[in-house]
Amino acid sequence: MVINMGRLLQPLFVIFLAAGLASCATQTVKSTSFTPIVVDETPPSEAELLDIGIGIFSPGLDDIPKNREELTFSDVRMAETYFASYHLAQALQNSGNWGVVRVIPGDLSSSDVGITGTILQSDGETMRVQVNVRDASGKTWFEKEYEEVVSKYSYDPRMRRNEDAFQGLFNKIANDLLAYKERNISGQDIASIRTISRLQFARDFAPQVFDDYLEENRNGEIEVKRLPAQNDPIMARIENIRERDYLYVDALQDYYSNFVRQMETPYTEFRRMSYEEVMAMDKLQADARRNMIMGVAAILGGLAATQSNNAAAYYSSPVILASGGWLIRDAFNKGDERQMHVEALAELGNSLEMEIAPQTIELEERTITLNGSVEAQYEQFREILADIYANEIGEATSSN
Amino acid sequence: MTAAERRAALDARLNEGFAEFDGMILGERERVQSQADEAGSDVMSGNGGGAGGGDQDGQAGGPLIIASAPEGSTGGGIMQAGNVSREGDFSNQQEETFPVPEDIPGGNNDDVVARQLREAAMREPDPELREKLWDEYRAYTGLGQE
Repeated sequence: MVINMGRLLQPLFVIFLAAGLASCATQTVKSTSFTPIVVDETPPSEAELLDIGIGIFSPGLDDIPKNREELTFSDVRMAETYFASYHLAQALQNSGNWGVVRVIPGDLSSSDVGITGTILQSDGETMRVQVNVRDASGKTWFEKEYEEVVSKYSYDPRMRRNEDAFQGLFNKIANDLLAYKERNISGQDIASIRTISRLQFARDFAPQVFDDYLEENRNGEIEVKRLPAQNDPIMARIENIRERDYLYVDALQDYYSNFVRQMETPYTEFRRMSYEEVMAMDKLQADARRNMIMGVAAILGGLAATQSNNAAAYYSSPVILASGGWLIRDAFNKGDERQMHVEALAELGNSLEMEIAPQTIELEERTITLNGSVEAQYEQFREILADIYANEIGEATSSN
Repeated sequence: MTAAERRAALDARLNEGFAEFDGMILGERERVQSQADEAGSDVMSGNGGGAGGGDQDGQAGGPLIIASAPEGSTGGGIMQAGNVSREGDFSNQQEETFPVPEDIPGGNNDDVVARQLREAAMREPDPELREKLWDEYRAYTGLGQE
């Protein structure tokens, strides 16, 4: 009897090929390297510093990938928006490459440079954010997506360097900002940006005075049309208001700083534990997928063997079919086991939500209350400035 | 009422508004600071590593300070107070100012009170009085204790 080795081995070949393909799909490459912050070799002079306003990141709850929905907890994500904005601000300030860096809840048009962001993914293993950077003239510097995948060492206290597990991501953003500025923004641009942000603020408080000091060009970018006089008294009063605005924003930084410190410990612990759950879930999912592929391939191979005229193939077909069935059954078992990790993660997430949600609500309420009081004062200032200006116009008119 | 009188009255209203605003903000910051003290954390002075102008011990009841920016990358908690008259911006300053003593650092860490002391000292033409103002500034910001 001639044994056709090719036909005998064919089902086995299919199984091995399937195993190979399945294992390729499950490879994950992680880097344990850390992105340090880049500090400008030549520290900028005071005149070269640009202040940065960072908006509270958007939670990105409308764009969660389907396979990550079970890993996302909306109240945790809301807290993370403050957390991410705050840590980005810290990274930028720590670099020493910029002026004052603040997290600002509202309009960023009075900031020299404004950064907005959206959290696209955040679990214990991966953080992904979309960031948009533009300056006071409205020119977009860049819009980019950043992703950081951490290893278990990021949660090892001996290796964390007292920094956030995803500090590398914030450092990357800060480094890109510096690189962009060095490549594209001249000293003249810096002066122009600073002037525009200052006049934007002035225009907000005294539009009747400063409305025509700025104009929009054909590209939709704002340009300086004229400068206030050196001894412009209205401008001097607005500078005093701006000083108060800095104080108000500093008070908000106190809120955010307090909030981040309160949430840091439970949140870090949640991320560490969810990292382990996510790792286990991903592995089980990968194993289940691989076993399913191999199982299906084995059954197909076994079925093919039952049709074979080759005796060896024919008699090996029950073994192949049985192993295929076992693989598929094991895939379902792994699926069930994965579900246990999903439930464990859900419990962690709900527990953290219960702890963090009240703090987030309190932060938002306090911010809204303070902002309301400040806006009421600002309205008063606007009215007084308008009266002062009207008085000066009247005085100028009568003296002529 | 003449235009000048009206302007003075409006400026007085504006200054009242500033005082009210300052009181509101400082009160709020004191509240947050005492909350942080109760929680046992150092909100204002960054990570306990001692970077910048933070007061490391006995935050409760101490002067309010605005979190300082570290020199280089030495720490966190670094939301820096804004500096209104940034060097290089077009200037509205009319009054003569006098040089700052060498031991006085930049005013980026100053809170409202320290900034007022600084400005008063920088504008004081009488050298003796000016030095007294700088001594007050040193005492208030804790420079004399370092």
